[in-house]
Amino acid sequence: MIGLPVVTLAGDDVAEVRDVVFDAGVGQVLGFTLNRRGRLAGRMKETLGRNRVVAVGPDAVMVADADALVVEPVRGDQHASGNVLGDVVLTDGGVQVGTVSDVVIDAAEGSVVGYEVAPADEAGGRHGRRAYLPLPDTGAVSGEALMVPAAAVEYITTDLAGFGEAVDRFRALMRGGGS
Amino acid sequence: MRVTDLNKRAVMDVATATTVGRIDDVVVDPVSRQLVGFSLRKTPGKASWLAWDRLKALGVDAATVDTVEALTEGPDNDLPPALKRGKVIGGLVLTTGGLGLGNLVDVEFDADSGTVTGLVLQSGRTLPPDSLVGIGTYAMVVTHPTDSAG
Repeated sequence: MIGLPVVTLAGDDVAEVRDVVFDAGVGQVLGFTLNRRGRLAGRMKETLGRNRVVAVGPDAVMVADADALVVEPVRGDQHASGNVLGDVVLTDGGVQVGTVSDVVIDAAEGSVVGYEVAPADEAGGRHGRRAYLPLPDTGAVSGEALMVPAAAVEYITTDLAGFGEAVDRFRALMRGGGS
Repeated sequence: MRVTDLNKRAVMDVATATTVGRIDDVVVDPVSRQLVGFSLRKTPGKASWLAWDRLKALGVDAATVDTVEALTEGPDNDLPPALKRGKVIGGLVLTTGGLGLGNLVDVEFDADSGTVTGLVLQSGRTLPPDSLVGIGTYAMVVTHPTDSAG
């Protein structure tokens, strides 16, 4: 999602996604911090709240007009919120799986369904290999680390197309195991 | 008729039977889905804008005006980018859902009324005119094809 253009319904690109701000408690995207487009790229004071987004698509974040961007922090109501990108992914068994490199969002609901993870054992010189980790129904996250059940590691997939299925299987397992 | 067919088409002054310019570019209003006017090249003076309502006729071989006075220096209000120089043709078509549909290759319109009748995509698909939402500096925005089908 990072770098995705923010486009008005009139067809003008007014910003691009700098970071995704989400509610850690409910796995909901709260909004986006923004960068300027083009050569004058740099952080914008304005942010984009989820309620001002028309749609999040694979090629753009759509807004009604430039007024959707406002100078106010994107906040959650109840839960700690923060930027998960760059967080260490740690299992409840204490094993570091990697770091969060992106967030996979259900575009229709605005909910986070998983994370793109750069594997911890990836050498600095190697790049391009990314894994997708389904979001557990319950999983603690702070600005520091994302905790996942050790079982989640079994459902890491390198195939984004097959990701939805992995999410469903994993959630079914977690619900079944918990009752 | 297609917008790309208009490229370099002569604009004739019927009063003097002389060429007063050639069509260089076209501006479309995404709200009314109408051609607003043309920017011309090789005009006799500085006036190089021909509004659609100052046009006498748009024929297959030439556009005609009653007088060279039909040409003005420019449109009065803020208009969307011109189709060619604004890179709308050749540029991205984006749905309101944020999905890219590829590039726009042409715009079809009715030569009598100037009403847009279709948006031709690189894929060969033609979107209906009522799918048009916006024409901007980044993309042409349209409703999703399945949304407008019903």
